[in-house]
Amino acid sequence: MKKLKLYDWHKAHAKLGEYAGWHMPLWYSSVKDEHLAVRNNVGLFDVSHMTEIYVGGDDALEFLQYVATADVSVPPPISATYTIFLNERGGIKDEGLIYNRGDKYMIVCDAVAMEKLYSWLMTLKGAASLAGDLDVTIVNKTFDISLLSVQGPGAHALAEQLFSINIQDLWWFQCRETEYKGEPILLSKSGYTGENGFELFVEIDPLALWKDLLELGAVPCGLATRDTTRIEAGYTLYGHETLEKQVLSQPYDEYTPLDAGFHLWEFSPIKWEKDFIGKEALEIQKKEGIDRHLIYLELAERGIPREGYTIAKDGISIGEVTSGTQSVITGKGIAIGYSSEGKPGESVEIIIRGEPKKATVVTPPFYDPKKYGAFREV
Amino acid sequence: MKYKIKEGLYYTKEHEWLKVEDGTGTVGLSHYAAEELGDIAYIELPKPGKVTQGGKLCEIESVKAVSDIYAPVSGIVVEVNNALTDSPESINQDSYAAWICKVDIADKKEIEKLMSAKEYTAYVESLT
Repeated sequence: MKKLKLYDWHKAHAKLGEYAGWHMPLWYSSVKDEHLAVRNNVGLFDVSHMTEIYVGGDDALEFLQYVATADVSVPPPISATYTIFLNERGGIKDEGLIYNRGDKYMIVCDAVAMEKLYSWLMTLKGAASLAGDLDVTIVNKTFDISLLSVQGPGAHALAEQLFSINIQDLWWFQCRETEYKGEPILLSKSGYTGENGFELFVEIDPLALWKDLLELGAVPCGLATRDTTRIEAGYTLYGHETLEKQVLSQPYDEYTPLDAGFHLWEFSPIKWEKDFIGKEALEIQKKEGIDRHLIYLELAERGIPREGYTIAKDGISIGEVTSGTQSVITGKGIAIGYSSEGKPGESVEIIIRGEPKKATVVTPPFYDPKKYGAFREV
Repeated sequence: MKYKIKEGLYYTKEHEWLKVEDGTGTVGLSHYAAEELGDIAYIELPKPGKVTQGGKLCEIESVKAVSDIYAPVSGIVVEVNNALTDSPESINQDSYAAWICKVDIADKKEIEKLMSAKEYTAYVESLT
């Protein structure tokens, strides 16, 4: 099992559990308290299990433009682009962010697919090298870099106090190279909770920084709260909404970015104007028709939807839940899933323990965006 | 020991407690179970009727996961704590007060298979 640099601190303060081969803090006090800290004040997550891969060399951009679906040629000042990595079938290898750090690119994605994504990049590099000279270096930095995520309406005050950076001046995914006690760190305006916040990439021992953030009022939050906040915000997670299958039991038995509706976003991570792996497969799917989509459900009855539960309409299966929990804010059972039908406002059912429970199709987030989240009316 | 283990109750390896009064057994979850589960968000209470020792009694859900609760003794479920439906979190607050159901015990000899508070303390220590 892999250990975070703050493993000893977490062991002394949290209930630990396994995630993607890492010993992770699941919760420190209670999911409810931690979740409310993120929504009402400020929470602090140690998400150092996240994967960081550096891609450098003269041909790094050209290489990444081919392996990522998004246009990653964003100019400095340093910022990140959300992208999908596809296989040739159009299936999702992984999803994540690519930071342009000037002299190199940094891929940041979930821990589950670390080995897989790294070896995929190495394979593609090898294949591309056969076709000609390619100056690309790929380094897995996951075990060197710690990632602390500060989330909530109170996050900006902490950035101000510790780094004299006003995160309100940054646009989403924009970064600043800054310092902490003389050591370089990267501050990124990003997060995974739906709230305003920032994330710190550090190569030093993060203990002093962690303690400073706690001292300033941040509440330590575990992985359970990371999941409840991201589902409440309606964010997808690799391994759930996005997942590559090793073997397909039937054609199209794998969710693609088109099933997920990523091509419909205003700032879509699918850049059709360039060539990328999997593009051909997506174009074929687009032509043949997309027969399922991501759906967001709120239970009208008591219960908690879970991954794998059937979504039905009038007793006939129309889809499947990929993530579910109980919203801490609304107290209702909430779910993300794939379905062949269901528009916002319509009623469907989620089958829980053999019994159909009424659910309403909604538009995320699951909380009132006027009261919670990054765009709340203060 | 960070977990509270109440004297005078019987315990199972699956962390249910049983309080015996005359022929009736009251069933609940131990403090250890409540801590391990984390925030309890939902309970599907047992249906009245026959249960078997070690058999599934009902289901409980924390924010994270669904878990089964097992019957510590065989018998007939005669009463359920309906208050838990609206406030399942009371199990986290005091798992010895937040009882789940009452069972008319079929065979008192089955109680001998359960652990005493002292035995259960040693058992929990072996797990942590």
